[in-house]
Amino acid sequence: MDKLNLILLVPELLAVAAGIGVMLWDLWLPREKKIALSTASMVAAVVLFLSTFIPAVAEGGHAMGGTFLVDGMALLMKRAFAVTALFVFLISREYVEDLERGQGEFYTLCLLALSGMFLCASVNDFMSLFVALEVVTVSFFVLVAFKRRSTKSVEAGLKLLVIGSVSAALLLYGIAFVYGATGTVFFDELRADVVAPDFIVSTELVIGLFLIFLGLGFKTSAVPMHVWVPDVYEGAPTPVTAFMSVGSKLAGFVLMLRVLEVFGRSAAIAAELTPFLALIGALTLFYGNLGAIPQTNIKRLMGYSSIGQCGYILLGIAAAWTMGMSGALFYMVSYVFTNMLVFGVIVYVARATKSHDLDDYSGLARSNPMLCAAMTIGLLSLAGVPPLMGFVGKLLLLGSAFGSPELHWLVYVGLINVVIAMYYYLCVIKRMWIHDARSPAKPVAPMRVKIALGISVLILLAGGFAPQILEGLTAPAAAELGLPSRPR
Amino acid sequence: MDPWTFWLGGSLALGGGLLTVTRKNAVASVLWLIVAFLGMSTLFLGMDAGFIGVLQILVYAGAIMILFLFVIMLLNLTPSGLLRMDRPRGTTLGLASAAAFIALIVAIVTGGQQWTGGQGGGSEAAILERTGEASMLEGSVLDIADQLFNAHLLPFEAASVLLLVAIVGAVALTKRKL
Repeated sequence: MDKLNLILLVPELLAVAAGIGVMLWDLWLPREKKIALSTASMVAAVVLFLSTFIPAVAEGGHAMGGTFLVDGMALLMKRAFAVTALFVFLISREYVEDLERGQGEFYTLCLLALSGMFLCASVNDFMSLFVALEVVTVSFFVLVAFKRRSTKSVEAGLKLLVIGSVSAALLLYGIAFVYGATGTVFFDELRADVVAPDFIVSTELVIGLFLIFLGLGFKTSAVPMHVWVPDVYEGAPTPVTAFMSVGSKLAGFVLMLRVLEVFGRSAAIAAELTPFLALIGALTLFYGNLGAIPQTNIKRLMGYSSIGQCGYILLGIAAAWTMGMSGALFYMVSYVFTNMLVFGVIVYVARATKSHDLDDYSGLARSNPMLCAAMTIGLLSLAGVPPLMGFVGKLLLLGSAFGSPELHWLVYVGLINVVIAMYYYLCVIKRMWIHDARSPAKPVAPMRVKIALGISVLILLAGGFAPQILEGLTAPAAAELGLPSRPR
Repeated sequence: MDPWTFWLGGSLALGGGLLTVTRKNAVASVLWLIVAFLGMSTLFLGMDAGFIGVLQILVYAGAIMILFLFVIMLLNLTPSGLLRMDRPRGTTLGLASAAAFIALIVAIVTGGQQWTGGQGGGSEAAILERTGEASMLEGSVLDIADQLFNAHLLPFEAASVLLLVAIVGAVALTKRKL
């Protein structure tokens, strides 16, 4: 327990080293050769992905005197984060090439944000949780405002900064309450404490946990901390929006799962948390899906859609038993491929049309059938149409909520929202396949992106036809978490 | 904690914070923030966290707030941005604070007699005896170092990454030519 065990931190250390390495190399590269930084970042993302397979890391365990934990969930999520970063580097190459300045800094910040996400997956005490989350948040403050000359980008950065600071304060306040109620910030001690027969669930503890979930809800875009999402998604550079909609969101979720795993062991605490999380989940579902309907900007639409998707994962978290955890992990992994697929298309359509209007997508089937097909499959998976991966994820999450009788209403809310979401996703699909093109622009994607999109499509299909492959990864990781294996 | 210390520190911190966010003049906001930090520092001292309490004043009120003031003054705010501060009679306040400062020095010099000339004198053994007691107080530098470098090593190191991100970000967002 008291050992440093630094070998377990290899992925995190490598991510920080890669970030600093890119920053230093940037100094020596002449302007016309800066594109090498993009290649270097892609290689770094692949190396980071592979580094989670080093036997000593994959074996798992405690490090840093028990404040760092590598378990099945941490490993799975680190791999998901590395894949996300790789996708972001693949689709951001042209965008960064066009920047007149700060190319190296873009990649540095992305890699350092990735190191923060890695840490989020492995934190085992509240102090590390806060610092790891702030590493991610602060990187995104800058990345969102990266287009300094664009008013929208700077405005988005400022909005994120203000709301992010408020939510960080809520989170810290919650942590202080929990520390006051329990006298410790270490998850290992808390895990032992909450199941002790003489443990008293005080009001302070419950208030603290509510505040912590609200603070984390900022990252996962859960109501009521969702207000920044559409504006920031619209204003941020599109590759950053893609990174934020997946990486930063999942970092929030993995922390939610971790906190739930620690406190949900106690049936008394779970009984307090479940109605609260279920209420937030239901509001998030309705807000995201109803808000998406009138949108005319694809990035705003994806912003509302990402709020709606957050609601589904909250269903599994509210259910707080093994199947909910497994469903949440499954959904998070499938979300990486689905959302990245959609954003891969958005980036290249926007490059051709120079705008993000939904009208740009009219007639995409004729101007670039391949991108159109990829986008269609991505949207259908987001909507949860069988036989795609998104369907299986929704099924698992709704199933886990169905397990506990007091959450049946939430299942109906989820089902109603599936139908609402289907409507606006299908509207985009209809526009792409049936409407005539408005602009003569012909979107093209480079070969490396085509390959990445193709692989994502295959994974979405494979995850739908053979969900047992991914479930074989998520179910053991969820079982390890120590929540009850039956609904409460 | 002594309830008086709690109420004094708490009301200073909250009142200062409230005035910080309600002032129209940015300089006045910064000055009220210093008051809020003094309140925080009182609370820390009340909890026997002497080192943190002193750091709160040295680092936050002393260094960071002065930096804030410099930045605000360098921003070239338009006249409408720098509203006139309504300041009470300068001479009276100045004399009052000078008197308080002199009183403080006199108190330290006369009260400090026991440290140099009192029983035990300034011998090494006497100093060790007195300081040895002081370091047993909770919240001493030793305790904080132990917490930082043992129990909370991971967040301590991760904070350095956080600072790196903040520095790179600040430069990337503000520097004209990179």
